[in-house]
Amino acid sequence: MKLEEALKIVDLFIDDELPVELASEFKQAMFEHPALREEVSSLRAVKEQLEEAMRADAMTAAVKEEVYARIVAETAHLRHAAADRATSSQMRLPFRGAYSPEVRG
Amino acid sequence: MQQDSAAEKRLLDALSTGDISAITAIYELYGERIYRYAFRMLGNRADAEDATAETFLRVIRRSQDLRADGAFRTWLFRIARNLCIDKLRQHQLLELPSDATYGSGEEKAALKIAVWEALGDLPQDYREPLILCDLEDISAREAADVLGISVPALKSRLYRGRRALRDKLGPAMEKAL
Repeated sequence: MKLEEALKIVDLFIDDELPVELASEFKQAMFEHPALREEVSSLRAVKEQLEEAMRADAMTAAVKEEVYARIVAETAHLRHAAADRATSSQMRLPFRGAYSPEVRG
Repeated sequence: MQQDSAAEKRLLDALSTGDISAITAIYELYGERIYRYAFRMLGNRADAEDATAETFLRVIRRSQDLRADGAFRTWLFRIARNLCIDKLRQHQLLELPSDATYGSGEEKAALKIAVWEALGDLPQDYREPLILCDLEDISAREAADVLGISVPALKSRLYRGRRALRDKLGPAMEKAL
């Protein structure tokens, strides 16, 4: 594989998206072309540094709770409406149940 | 495209029929990912918290439009993205997170700051594919859907973004590596 061809598919190699045979050719080309090795190495390093720099940004349990509390608070009126609907439908159940065969029997 | 699990489909069906309690489980499934994405887009915790809460509130408000057809995650990220873009327009600049100096050494901390600054300096067209594909590990197809562009366009921006980031980080990376 020529260097120019290989340089066009560096990202596909890094993202592990090359078909097996082409990936094998690409690896061979890396042995033959130092410039290709350098390109792969530097782009991989960028990806790694990006991941490393952004790693310490996980959501803590406290933040997760806090955000959830805001969602609950702002949807309280919807929850109440849903609860009211549920209550009113439950109130109808015994009336309908009174006419069931079990009750009559 | 990410396929929603059967459990997720049930949750979305429940939410679309007015069962607000389903949002608890949906938040449990996606809350952390949306927060992390928002934090990476915005660079500060307070705005990331706002964007996360508002994303799920919008899901509830638009629950009548929900379709459990496998595209929910894309839709969710698109809502979060729009909120983040609105916030970025308000603030103009990506702020350096307050904990950016955390790290085991000075060089590591310096590199972390350099990465944040370089990412913030990138055009949005380059920054977003990097965050979605290289950080959130979302497929190219799904990321393209979130951004409303074709897969080839997404990949082109992603590849250019990596090189632009490398160019900006050049000296900082050489010091740290």
